[in-house]
Amino acid sequence: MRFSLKKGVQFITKGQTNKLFSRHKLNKIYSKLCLKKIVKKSCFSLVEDYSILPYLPQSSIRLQVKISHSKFLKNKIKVPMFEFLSPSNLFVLLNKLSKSIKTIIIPLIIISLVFSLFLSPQDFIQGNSVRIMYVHVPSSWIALACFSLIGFLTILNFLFKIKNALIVYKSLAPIGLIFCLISLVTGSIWGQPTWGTFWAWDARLSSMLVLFLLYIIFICSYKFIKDQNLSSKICAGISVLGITNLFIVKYSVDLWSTLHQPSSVQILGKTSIHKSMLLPLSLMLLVFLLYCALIFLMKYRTEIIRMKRKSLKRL
Amino acid sequence: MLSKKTKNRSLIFFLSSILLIISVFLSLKVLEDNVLYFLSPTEIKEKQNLNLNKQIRIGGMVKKESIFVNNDEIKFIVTDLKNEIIVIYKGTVPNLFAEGKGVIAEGMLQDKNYFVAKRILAKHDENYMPPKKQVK
Repeated sequence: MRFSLKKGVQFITKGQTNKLFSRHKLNKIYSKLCLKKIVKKSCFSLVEDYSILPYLPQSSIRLQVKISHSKFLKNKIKVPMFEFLSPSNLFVLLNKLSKSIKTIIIPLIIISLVFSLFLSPQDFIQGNSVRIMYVHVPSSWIALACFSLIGFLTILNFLFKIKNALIVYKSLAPIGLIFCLISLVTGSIWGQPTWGTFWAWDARLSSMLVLFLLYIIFICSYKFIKDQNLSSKICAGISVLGITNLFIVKYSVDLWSTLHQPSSVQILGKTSIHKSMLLPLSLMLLVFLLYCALIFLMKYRTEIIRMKRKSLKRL
Repeated sequence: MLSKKTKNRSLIFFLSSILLIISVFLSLKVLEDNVLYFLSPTEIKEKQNLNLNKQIRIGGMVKKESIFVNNDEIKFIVTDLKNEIIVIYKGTVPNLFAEGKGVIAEGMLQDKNYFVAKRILAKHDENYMPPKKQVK
């Protein structure tokens, strides 16, 4: 029997648990044990245990070896230490991180809402309706940033078949979709009092709608296509389209005449938002980013568990 | 360093993505008339084959001290600081409609200097500031 498991298995001798071996190492141990006739092949049995699932690396499984403890110890097989960034360790780390985000996010939300809804001044033309900006602008930024990240990871996954990138973009896509929707909805709510219309088919608004549709197609293409290869190909295609669309979204207000105003905040160059309004905007961005991180971590862990479950079933 | 499969994949990927990007830009180039949300008075003046029966949008700044209100009819001049168009409109205007601010009018041209609007949209700029600073 060879272990065709991808990364590792847990090797359990009587009384000893939680030692992780790589596949290579395990094969070595196995052959060593078999050569010395300590164990027979039939002594190895696979035990499915879902309770420890999150703490195991990809495609791992518990292995029970029916040998006596003393005999096993005589051979003095060295057990490798936990790698710092092994998925199981990462899992625990992510748990801690999401807990710490959870503790700070509620006070931050309250502070930034107070700043943006009460303490910040009105605009000199728009009055109170400028406060929609504090939701609209950060959520559109996040929607754009999310897609650029997704596009990058999809292409990375397509070219080099990196499994981790796949999990990351799968957990990023719904966040981007939601923030894109928020940006569209708040934008049209903002448009009514300022422009006098909910929707106009100008370049910025239409390209944002296209981005929203691309998000939906992207999510559908990995949700409903079972074939992994095909879905990653389609995702790569969509993300190339999406990245071109991102440039159109970004530069539409500069290239063509649009109803939407040009961007106020520029990384290079001056911002045309007054300082007293920039503070709640950046606070709101921080809160949104933290929220994104929280949802992302939760999604990421779910995806890891889902993947492991799949591979367990395959065994 | 890269395996042959990866090289093949990346070659196919880059070629197809370049083709895709070029096709997107070409289609945008073709559709440029539709991408433009409004025309400025100068663009209307320079345009040769102008269809007067088609609904279009014009945009620019409302000229200072040009707004005339007569019952429910409003008359103002849209300018881009070079050329001007007189606009007539019946109905309510958005809150941000004011002198010296951006405006977009949707309707039909009577001739090159006269525009009958069916809808008025206000276009606001990218400046945000509290009211006190504006006074200074």
